[in-house]
Amino acid sequence: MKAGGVLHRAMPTIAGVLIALAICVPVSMLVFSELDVESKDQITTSLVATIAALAISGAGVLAWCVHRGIAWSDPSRLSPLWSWLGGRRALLVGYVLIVGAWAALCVVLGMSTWLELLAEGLGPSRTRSTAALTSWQDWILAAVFVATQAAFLWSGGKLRIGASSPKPYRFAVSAAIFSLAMSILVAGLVLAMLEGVDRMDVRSRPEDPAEIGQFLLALLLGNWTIWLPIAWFALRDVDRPTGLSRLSGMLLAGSWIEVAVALPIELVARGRHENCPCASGSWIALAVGGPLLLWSLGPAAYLLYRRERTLNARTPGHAKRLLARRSTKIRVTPDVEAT
Amino acid sequence: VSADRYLGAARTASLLLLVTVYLAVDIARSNVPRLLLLADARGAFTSAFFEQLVDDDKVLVVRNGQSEWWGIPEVESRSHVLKPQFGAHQDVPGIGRLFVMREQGAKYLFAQRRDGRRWIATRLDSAGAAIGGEARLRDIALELSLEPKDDYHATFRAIENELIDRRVEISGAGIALRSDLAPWLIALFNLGLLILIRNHVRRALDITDGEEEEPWLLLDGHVGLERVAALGWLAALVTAPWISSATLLMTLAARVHVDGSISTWATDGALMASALTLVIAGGWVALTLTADVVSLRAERRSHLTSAPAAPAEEEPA
Repeated sequence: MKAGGVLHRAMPTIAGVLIALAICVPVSMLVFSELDVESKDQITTSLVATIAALAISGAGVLAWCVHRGIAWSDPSRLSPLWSWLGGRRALLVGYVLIVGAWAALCVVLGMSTWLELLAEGLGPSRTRSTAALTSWQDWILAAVFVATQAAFLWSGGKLRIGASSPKPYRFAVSAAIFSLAMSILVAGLVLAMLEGVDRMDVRSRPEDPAEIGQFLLALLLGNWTIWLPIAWFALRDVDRPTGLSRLSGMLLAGSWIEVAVALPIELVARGRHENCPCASGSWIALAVGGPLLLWSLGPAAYLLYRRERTLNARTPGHAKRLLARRSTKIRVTPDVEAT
Repeated sequence: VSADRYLGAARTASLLLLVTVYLAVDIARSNVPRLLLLADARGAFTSAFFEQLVDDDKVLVVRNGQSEWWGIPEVESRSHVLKPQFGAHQDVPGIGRLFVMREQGAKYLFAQRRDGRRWIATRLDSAGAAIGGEARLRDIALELSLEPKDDYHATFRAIENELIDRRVEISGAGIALRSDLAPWLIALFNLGLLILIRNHVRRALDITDGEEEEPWLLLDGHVGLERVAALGWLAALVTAPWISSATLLMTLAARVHVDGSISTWATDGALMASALTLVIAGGWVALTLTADVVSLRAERRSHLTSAPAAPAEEEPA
């Protein structure tokens, strides 16, 4: 492969890394920094310089991508795995069972909110309420959970996975949900990493709840505007299943990575926050990463199932090959056959 | 090179991978509680140190047999602790140079060891302070099967030596690793092994058409318990990098907590970025390896279950 080709393929990754750095560096420095008055100017200068450098280089890479087009990595490498998983209807059934088991566990363990199973279950033990799944908030949460999954798959068009290449604005709803979810995931990941290096200083938080709310809103909106262009790149010039699969894959991978990072850190850090579990960054990461992982599994399982069905319908002999793969043939030697 | 040799090497490497994952879990299970015990010991030592102070706002420093009183500097942030060139300090043999400072009303003890490692601690919390620092140090020493000394400095020195300087011995390999470095090395080693296995499986996939090559349950278990074992083996390979990364993150988080988060932003950023890279790279290699193994399983199965070619009839002489 030519060097230019390698560069072309690597560009999206480089852009992703730069954008991720542009998010992580300022967020991590701003959110829970332990700045004092004397050094604030110096830190602000270096922060602005870092953001400017990352933004300029990221914009350059993105301009290059727009000019040359993006070459995403070859998806066929994982195709056998997707076919293997998608060929099982049990995947969808399993997902429904997982959601059911999750909700049932919340009832049994008396979680205050059914989405907090992962964080509450792993956090320090404390007296739990018994009002799980009985309050109207839980039902609203459940409705929002399912509605956003449907809206993600609907993506501004009919609730149908077709092969046509829709206009980009048809993906608007999916892109918006994806961007919001990825923003939350990045914020959670940064918090988990801050907890990992013990830099979650509760005392440096603003005391006014309005200030916290404004800051979180700005943080989410900031991240949202960064993830929207990424979603646009992922959805450009592709058909609906491919576009949704890319978004769904990124969400699934992101939430899995967040849980994989936050879980071990929380296991170590939970002893430090016995009195106030939500002061732990890894606890917050699990509280958002766990539900998002559960959420993103749904569209992923559905898209895999639809992919296999589409392959069945379009590829001659696909069903036969699938049947042969699941069957066990008995070798018959000529002697036995003769008898 | 035949596919046999690639598959044989991949099978051996996969077994080695599983052994190292077990080793990583075992080391983390041992390391994390020991590190948390070390944090406890440092808190107890700090308590004992402050219990000896006569004046709460001053530190008695003994230099060349003469006593001096030093005021405790008030600092705004622990980030200043990185350069404790100011204030009182004591040189305690075997423990290091001890500085005392105060931040937002709480007093901290900062230690700089001879080997360059540093830590900061405050007094034990209210629950732990029910007993004095010296008594708690004695308890910890007994917990570690060490003989408590009369001098709390000596007791703490023995505890720190036991918990920090003891190396992890890998029996059979004759290797002894520093306990804080072992998870990093194992995570890197596991990633390398996964890449090696994927390369071998991919090469075998390129060469073979599913002929009956080297037997490997991972590829040939299709029915009953064999299938369960094969899928279990595959699941173990997929989860291996996540598990070793998790043990690494646990040890890293515990170590940072025990030392009191006195490293710089750059160090913390580099450590977490490296750990995150290992998580992502390991996950990607494990996923692609699974896809290749699934392909190879399908090819082997297809070949095994296809009807054999009819034997060529010998032509009559």
